[in-house]
Amino acid sequence: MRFIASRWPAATKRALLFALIVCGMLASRAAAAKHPRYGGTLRVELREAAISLDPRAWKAGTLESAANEKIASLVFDRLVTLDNYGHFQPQLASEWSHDASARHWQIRLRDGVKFSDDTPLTVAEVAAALQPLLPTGIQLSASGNTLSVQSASPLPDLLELLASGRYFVYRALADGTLVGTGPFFVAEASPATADGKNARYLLKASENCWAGRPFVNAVELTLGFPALRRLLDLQLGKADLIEIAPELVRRAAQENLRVWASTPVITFGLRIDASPSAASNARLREALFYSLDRTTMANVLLQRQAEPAAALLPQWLSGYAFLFNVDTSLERAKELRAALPANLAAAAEPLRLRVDAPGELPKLLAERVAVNARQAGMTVQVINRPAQREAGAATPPAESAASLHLFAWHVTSLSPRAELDALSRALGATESAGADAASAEPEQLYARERKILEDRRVLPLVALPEYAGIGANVRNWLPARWSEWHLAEVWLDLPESVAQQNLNLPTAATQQQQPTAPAGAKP
Amino acid sequence: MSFRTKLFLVFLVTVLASVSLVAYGVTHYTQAAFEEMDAQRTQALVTQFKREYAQRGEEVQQEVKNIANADVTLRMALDLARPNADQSTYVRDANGAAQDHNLDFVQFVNSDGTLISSAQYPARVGYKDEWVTTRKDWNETPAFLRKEELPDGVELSLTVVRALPVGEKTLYIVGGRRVDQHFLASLALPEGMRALLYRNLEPNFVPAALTDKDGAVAQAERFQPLIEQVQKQSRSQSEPLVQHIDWTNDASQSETFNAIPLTGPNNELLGVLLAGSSQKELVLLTRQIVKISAAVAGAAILIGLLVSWWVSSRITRPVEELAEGAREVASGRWIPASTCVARTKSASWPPPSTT
Repeated sequence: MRFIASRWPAATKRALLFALIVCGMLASRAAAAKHPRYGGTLRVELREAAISLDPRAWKAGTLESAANEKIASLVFDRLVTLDNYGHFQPQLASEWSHDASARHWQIRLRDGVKFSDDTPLTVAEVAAALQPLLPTGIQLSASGNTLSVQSASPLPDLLELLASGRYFVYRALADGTLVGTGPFFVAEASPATADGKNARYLLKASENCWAGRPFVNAVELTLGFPALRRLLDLQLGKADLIEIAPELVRRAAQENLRVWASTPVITFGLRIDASPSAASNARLREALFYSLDRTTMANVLLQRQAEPAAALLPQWLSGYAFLFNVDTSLERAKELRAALPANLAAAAEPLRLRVDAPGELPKLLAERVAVNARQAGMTVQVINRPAQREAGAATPPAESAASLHLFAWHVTSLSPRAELDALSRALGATESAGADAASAEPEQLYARERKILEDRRVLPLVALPEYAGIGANVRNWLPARWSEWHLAEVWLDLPESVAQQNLNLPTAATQQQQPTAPAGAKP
Repeated sequence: MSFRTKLFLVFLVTVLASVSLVAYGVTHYTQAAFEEMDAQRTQALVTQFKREYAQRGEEVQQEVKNIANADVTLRMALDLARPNADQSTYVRDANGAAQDHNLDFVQFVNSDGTLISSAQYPARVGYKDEWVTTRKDWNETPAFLRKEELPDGVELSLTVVRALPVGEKTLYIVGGRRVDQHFLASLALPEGMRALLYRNLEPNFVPAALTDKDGAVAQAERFQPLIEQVQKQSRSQSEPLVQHIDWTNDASQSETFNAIPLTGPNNELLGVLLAGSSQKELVLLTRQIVKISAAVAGAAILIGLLVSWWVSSRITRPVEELAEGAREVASGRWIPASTCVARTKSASWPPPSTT
């Protein structure tokens, strides 16, 4: 200081002091912005045009079901949850145990949990909610504060099963409305109208949530916006959180938007009907299998936003997906095709490929399949998914004659066995006689999956993650890697005036009951 | 036959011949004039189509040039010229370029013919379009007609290719606009004319390939002979092919079609423009002339009848009276009764006494 005092003029020192004060203020503001804040409405835009919050009505593996699950997790809770480190954490259950054979489980419920309508949660209600959702062979019974699970076959993966998918705890009211114990409740719901108005849901923070009040006051969901509109809304600050279509991920990144990607959770593939058609020829299916260029699909068409898929279950879920090879050999495909009659799958009688999944991406993949097949001498005609068919309308003949289907499968369970069961049922795949269908052992699961894939009636193509675009004001974005959004933990970096308003004007419910647990925290 | 009748007939024939001659002359010269006008109109349509075609080609040329000159394209070319460049970065760029430049088809093709990006058929990205790399003089080549492969079929495109060389490598920009019913709708045609387009995408005649500005053409199979004639005709032969089609028994519903072959860069037949001219006006005009001629002829005959009767009466009556007088004088009556009567009528009353 002596050196400065002796060498620097007074005006310079004053300027230096002023600069230091300004820097200090800015630093303190920046630090303040890192502290969690209550308030604000999180505006979320999703692709799906409509959602259903009734887990009993969901169709496993569909993209619609995945969107439903995402929203339902805001309203309902599960018994347990899996954290990002692979550890089970209690949610509505507080502790659990099972016998040596894993056929009998005892799950003790957390005390003091209430539904959003302020009624207490009982074990009987948990059993009533979960029983219709569980596979046959699993019996639930209530005794005291404990839920007993009894199964004829071992259930070593019961926690994986209960921590994912549609296994939410709910209570059905007399009018059919479902209430949950989750951090939000549905305050307003306006479905899409014929004049083009999008469906909108307003989920308000539940003040008496067992896990504490979420940071944001409400989540406003707008459904059915096209991909580009969602991206523009995020850019313009009209939305805080959006689903990003894979084809727009690169663009979003180029425009410096925050993009989050899950692990690969969606598998696109081809399913070949068992009905007698050209595709029932095993050699033709083999030729089709070898003609598919999955690497180009993933790396070029999907701009490296996907992975070539040779297995049905992703590697992160099964652990053995790497054992299946992505075999592409156009020469082999041509050889196999040449050995078949020329009029089989030819221009006069093409293989009809129907795109069952919604969106532009499945259509693009189907067209690529057609291009690949043509290179090997097979003609594939793509039939696009009808936008919306009226109830009772007849299926066009070309669609009903389709023997190939392009499907999309969204991971629906954290239990590989349950996932493979669901996939096998949905695809109508033939199961191995030797493999133990009830076993959750990786060897048995691998044998089952290999059996499903080896007759080439199911051909996986690519596996895609889900992408989300996050607004600059969204903080504490900590979703599960398998695309489960934890919006109760998110808080918004609001402008100072709005934040002050939120602090000064707490809601009536907040005044009545302050959260007992740390805000937004999970046990 | 009396002299009076003969005279009447001579008059009548003269009048009829004159009227018929005039009616025929008017009809003939009108028809000739109309046909000449029709030929001129057809020629004008053909010229207009060629002009429109050339203009569209120039528009496409300009748009493709704009894409080639854009910074983003230049950056793409520079990036792709690098070794191990990531081509997947540009998969969707053609789509944006097509929208920005109002083109139906845009593709970016690498030096080795690999399709980098395609607006019309993104599923083909990664495959080779080797036809692009076979020519070196693309920047001097005007727009040409081309079969454009799409996921759901084949379309005709007015295409332009421009090359953007960067070092040893070249990025090709292929842009085009669809030649279809919308193209026909944009043609300003005179009243009574229409243009049809046959897309020659199959070796045989396909009725569904024939469209007018509103879409499919009714009774398209009637054009089969004309189209087949064009398909057989040598491309170097430039004489126009014409077909007259009677759509119904009513002659006014008939049309005359001139076929203009549309060829690709290798002189292959890719389409046929059919310039149709309705015969309705000509037929209606001819009918009108015939009607007017008939009415004029009828009136002329009536007038001729009256005039010839009156004229013949004026000429023949004094001659007949003279012949009667002569007959009376010959019979000894020196003052014929007619003369007496005439004299009596002209004399003052009472007549003077002759005794």
